[in-house]
Amino acid sequence: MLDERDLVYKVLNGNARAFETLVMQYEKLVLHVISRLIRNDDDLKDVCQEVFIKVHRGLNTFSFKSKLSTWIARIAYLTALNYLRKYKNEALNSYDGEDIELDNYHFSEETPERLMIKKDVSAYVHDLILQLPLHYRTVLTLFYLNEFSIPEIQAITGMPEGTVKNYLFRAKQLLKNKLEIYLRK
Amino acid sequence: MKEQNELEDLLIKALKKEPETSLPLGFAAIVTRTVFTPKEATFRHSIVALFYGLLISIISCLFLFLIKPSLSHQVFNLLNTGRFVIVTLIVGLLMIQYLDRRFVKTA
Repeated sequence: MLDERDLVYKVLNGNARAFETLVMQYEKLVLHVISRLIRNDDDLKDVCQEVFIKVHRGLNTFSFKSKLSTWIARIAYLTALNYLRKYKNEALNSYDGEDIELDNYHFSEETPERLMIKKDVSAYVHDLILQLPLHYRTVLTLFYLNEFSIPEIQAITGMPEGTVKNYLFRAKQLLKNKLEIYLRK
Repeated sequence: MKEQNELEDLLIKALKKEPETSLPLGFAAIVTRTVFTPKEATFRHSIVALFYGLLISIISCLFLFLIKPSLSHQVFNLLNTGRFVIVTLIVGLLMIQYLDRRFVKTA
């Protein structure tokens, strides 16, 4: 993996190869963030491409105050939110003030497809995550899948640190309870 | 307690497992090509090109006037005679460029 600064300077100097390397290094990160927020596979590729176009346009403003991965993840997160607002009218409840009730959160009724998924623990958990409210699945993805720290998640999403920790704890508890019931069957 | 730890481990393992969705092969190359493909010339470029063309013509005429005044008078008279033709030609070319970008390329 190329040094971050070296890579950025090369891209800013118009080096296409360096940009391709940058995309290859961070495409998985972007995909993980976007795929948990946008469920339509057809739009996934377009949104991921849009993220990297924005990365290229905005790279001259990146000042190395954070890691490049944190900066790119924030662009991915905001791009996904814009997409959801524009096309899916998904309820993007603000995390300040409006606390989404998770304690009695109801997951979708069991369908034959869901029963098939339940045979695989990972697939079952993945299916549950996709049903969670947006902010909860965002923090779960950034923390466990992308392995960002709490302060980094705060920088990416703009959520206060306390809120991030709260969402992580509550989402994990809910999933744990569901998993426990699943394993008992 | 042991059960809870095992449950916790199972959940963490599931949370860390990468989803099956993936981007198409060569995604990085596709994005790079999109970003680095030169943008099409806009109508503004035609105006800028015309401006530089006129500037070069004026400078050339000036040099001609300084070097061979008699010849420059002939050139100026010729240009003056055909001024409407020259203007119509330039306007016509710009109109074609504009219509092409407006109607043909957006279709």
